[in-house]
Amino acid sequence: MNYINKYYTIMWATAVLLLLAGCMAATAFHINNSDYRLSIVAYITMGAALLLIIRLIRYPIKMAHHFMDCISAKEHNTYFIRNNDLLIGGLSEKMNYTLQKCSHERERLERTVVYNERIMRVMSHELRNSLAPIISLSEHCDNREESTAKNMQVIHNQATAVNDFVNAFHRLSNIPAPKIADVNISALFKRLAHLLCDEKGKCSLQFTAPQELVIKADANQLILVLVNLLHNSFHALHGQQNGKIEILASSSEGKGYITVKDNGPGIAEEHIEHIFEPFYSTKTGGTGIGLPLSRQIMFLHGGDLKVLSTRAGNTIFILQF
Amino acid sequence: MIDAKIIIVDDNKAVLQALHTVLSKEIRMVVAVVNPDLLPALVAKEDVDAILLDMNFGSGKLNGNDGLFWLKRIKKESALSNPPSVVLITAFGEIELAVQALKEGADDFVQKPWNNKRLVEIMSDVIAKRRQAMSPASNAKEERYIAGPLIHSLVQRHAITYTKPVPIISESAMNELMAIAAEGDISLLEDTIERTILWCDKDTWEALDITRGRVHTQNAITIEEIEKRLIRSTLKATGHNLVITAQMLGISRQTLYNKMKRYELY
Repeated sequence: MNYINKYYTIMWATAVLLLLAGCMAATAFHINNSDYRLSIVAYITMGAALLLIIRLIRYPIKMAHHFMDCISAKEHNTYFIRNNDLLIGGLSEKMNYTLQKCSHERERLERTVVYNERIMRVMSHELRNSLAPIISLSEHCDNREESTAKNMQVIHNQATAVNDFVNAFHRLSNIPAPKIADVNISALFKRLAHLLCDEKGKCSLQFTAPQELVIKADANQLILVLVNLLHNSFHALHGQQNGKIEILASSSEGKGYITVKDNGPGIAEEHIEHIFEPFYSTKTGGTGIGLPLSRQIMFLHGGDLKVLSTRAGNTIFILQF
Repeated sequence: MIDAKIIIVDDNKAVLQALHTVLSKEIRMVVAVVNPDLLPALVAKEDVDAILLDMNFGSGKLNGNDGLFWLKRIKKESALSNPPSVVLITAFGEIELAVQALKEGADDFVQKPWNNKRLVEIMSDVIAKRRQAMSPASNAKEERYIAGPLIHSLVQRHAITYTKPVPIISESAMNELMAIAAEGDISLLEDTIERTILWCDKDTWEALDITRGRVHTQNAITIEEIEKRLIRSTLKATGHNLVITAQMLGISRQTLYNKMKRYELY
């Protein structure tokens, strides 16, 4: 369709002229009652003109479709042929420009990600190398004098704490890309129930999922997220007599949802806006990476992790796919 | 004090000093070098029992290729009749690196920061195994079963699956797991380990952390069957290399021959 692109305006002019010519000829025929062949030529001309006009109208619509397909497929190397056409030249140029901008932006983001990942990987490595001798020697020292022994213990604990932080940090910043596959949620829930219910079969967990529900996800990462949420729920329900956790899967408008609901004390208002922050923890000795890690996994799946908590209890976490 | 000679190689001087201090308390001769290029000359006299080798030399390198290169040189290309055991040590957290190292023939793998006691244990073990391999008499203790390596490989596998760090398993936790393994239901052992990996966030497992899974009512596989399958799949993975298979399973070559004979795995 190169020629349509280059000569768009001219072809419109041609089409309109043909149409007019055809109309005039037809009119002349009817007025003058002249040769019937004139009328045939007239109608054929008008027909051809109309067909051409229809094609010309559809062309920019096709361009727009193609353009939007390129954007959503992230194919930014397509190029709409530049031209100086009066009607369509500007549109082509704008589309080219937009595609280029998208491509640059995407490259910029990719480079930032690669840069950050590299820094974080080297950082964990360097920190561990530096901490290793401190942790090792502070434990090894022959501390006959009690005060020295105590001081060495402090050094050892500090270094170990930093190392724990490095490990947590490393986990948060090194989530592998999800390996997406079709996951039958009902089967996944069965496996989780088997894995998590204790020996006696006693279970305060209730799993519900439609038999045929299939969600595109990385099954292992999904298990990790669910176990993380269940872990938190168990912790919250500790000592509560009627403690119950309900895990429910559903789909709505083509999107999958899983909710994890417990009837524990709920999350206090002053905490709830912080719970997804890395290293924020209300548990003594908690690492504070479970929820941000889970949320990041959902983000990598193109989804989200949200929380609802009422003061009366009932904390609900919603996995959106 | 173990009467043995080991070489430790790390380009970080502080790390080298710490390793030397800790290991020379338990092992008679510990030679510390910064430069791995010296290795061929040092092992030439064939009196070295084991090498503790860093995986990266020079800063900014992000893979373990240096370590793997030297591992290969020492084990395969050195033309030594009985090359020393090689334990790799690294500050990288990726467990895939550990698995790769073991596949390439490393005798064990340590992460930095290390646990002093565990490090000494590992070095003693690899020294003992190498000496045992040199003398063909088999150890009656090994004949029982290889639940130990099985447990370690299950722990590693599930840690990789769920991208969690590989935990240190304390003696009490190990006893718990061995007890479960001894019952014979291997699915129960697997479930228990998978469950503990998912549920326990500590870096060291104690006995209380081991929560038994639910018993499978059907298909209770015996420990003998699992031992047979493990040996068979390890042989397949190493291309029927008996030396490396024995190393990976943590048994002597003689024990491996005996088990292969028993299970008819030629």
